[in-house]
Amino acid sequence: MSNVGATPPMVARERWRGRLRTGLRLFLTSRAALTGVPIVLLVVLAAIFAPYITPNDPYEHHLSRRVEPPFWLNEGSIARPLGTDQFGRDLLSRIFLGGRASLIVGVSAVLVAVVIGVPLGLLSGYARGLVDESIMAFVDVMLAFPFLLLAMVIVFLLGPSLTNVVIALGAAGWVTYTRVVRADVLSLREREFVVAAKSIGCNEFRIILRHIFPQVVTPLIVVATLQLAGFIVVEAALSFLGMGIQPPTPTWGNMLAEGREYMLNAWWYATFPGLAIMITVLGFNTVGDWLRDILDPRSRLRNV
Amino acid sequence: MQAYLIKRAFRALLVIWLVSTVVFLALRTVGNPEDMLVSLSGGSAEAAAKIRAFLKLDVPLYQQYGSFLVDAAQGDMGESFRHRQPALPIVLERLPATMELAAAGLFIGVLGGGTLGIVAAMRPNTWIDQVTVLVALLGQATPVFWLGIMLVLLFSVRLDWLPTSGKGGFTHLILPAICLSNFTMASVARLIRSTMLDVMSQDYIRTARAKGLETPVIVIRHALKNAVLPALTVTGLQLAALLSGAVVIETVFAWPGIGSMIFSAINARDFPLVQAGTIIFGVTVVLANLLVDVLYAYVDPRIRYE
Repeated sequence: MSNVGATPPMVARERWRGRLRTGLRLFLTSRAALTGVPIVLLVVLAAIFAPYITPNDPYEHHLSRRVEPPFWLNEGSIARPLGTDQFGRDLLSRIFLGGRASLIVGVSAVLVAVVIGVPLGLLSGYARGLVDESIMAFVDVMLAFPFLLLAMVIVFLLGPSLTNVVIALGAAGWVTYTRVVRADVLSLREREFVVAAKSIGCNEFRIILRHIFPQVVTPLIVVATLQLAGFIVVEAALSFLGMGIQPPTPTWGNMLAEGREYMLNAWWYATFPGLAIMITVLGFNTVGDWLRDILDPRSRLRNV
Repeated sequence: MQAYLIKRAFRALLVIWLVSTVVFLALRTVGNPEDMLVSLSGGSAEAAAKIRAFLKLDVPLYQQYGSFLVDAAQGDMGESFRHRQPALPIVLERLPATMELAAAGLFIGVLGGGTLGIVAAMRPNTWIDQVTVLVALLGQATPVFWLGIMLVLLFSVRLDWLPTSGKGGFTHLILPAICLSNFTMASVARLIRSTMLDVMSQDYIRTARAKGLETPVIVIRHALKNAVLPALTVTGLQLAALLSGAVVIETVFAWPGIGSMIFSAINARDFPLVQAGTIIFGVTVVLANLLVDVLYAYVDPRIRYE
């Protein structure tokens, strides 16, 4: 046979179809996927289109309708389904906008953490020796601080703003990637395909980038999804403590902090932003767990 | 064993030194102490110079670092702006409250999570199992500060059973400790459930059944012993996460620990107190991790020969 490597187009199509079918089956038979994926889709779409779908202006004050209850209670109105805050602003609209802020911060911070953490993990695992030990000592130092405290101190130093919260979360969260990638690279670098690449004269940079890096991408997707959920909570915690994005820009955290002041006569004010956090985090967590189950059957990452 | 202990202790010392260095450098190079000084002194050059001398910022960085190390080794971490007292004693005074809260949270979390996990694993795929899994998933997704507010709303405001905040008798500890236990409970429940499911399908469990042992004996004496180690490992790894929760819970419940202290120090721009608090928090985690490692080495002989 002359063309051993080539695949006839018919077979390729069949294979592709088979994969699609497997994917669909993995999706439909998993309760985690069936709950997590719709939640994540809903939250992401709501965040993207937040400015267009808010039923009311999230910033407009209405002194005549301050702290209105949700629509199913007396004095509630369907025009403002989840009630209003102390300035008469529509809570639902503010929750939409808060979700947008949460996701922007979360996704950007995960990217920052990946960009810092992955190269360090590749370097640490591949170079070993003194380089590895120095990087891991620094990782140990970062892990010695409670994550929230670390983020708080960084925001304290930089000042509270959206960009600085992203920097703080990324700068505090990169160690996760360094540890995961390093552990994988340590075993990958001994494998035959790396030895083979070396023997045909690939330089080290090429080996790391073209041969080792693609192998660690799959676990990274899982870790990133779970970290995004974690970052959303920490962003909310920072805003709650007054160290995140500042009012009047709504975030779930600063809405909670304000709602807490009205706890005695407006239970809904602090309740709904918290529920929004919980549902979102639940969505990303279950999607993360599901991805781990289908992408990595051995579940090496169960405890990360 | 001894060699392992000495190695671990040296490593911990190294990390403690690095922790202090990182905090020192971060506070002086990442932020801009100049801006902070101006805002503190209200803009007057004379007052700014005074504060600069107070913080020993008027010498080159390497000299600052040198005197910082010498002072810190002698237990001197500068003086708090706000309290006009040495910073370290202020921090250490708050340490027991944080420990108390963390210990209570850990205890409730491990006990509750362990029980839930075992009960679920005994009846896999029944409604009991499914409810446990769902509760654990929800628990992991619940932000603790929100949980705190909701608990206060229910138990303090509506039912008037428990105090809303502060530190006093045992009743003051209940709500914050439950809050703190939430995450540990959820993750321990999930973990114990899955490891118990693994263990219960092992041959030696079948052997134990075959020789006629009662189920409770099998579960406690044969299965749990082997399922508990991974759960301990994860709980140990989560120590820093637990203390992360403590920072925000202390603030919500006005619990007088290190977390709430650092929070108010940050708001007051009390530079030396933030530094001392952060370093001591880091040192606490390092020492706690060391303790956990040593305990493992006793529990699991495989570790010390690695």
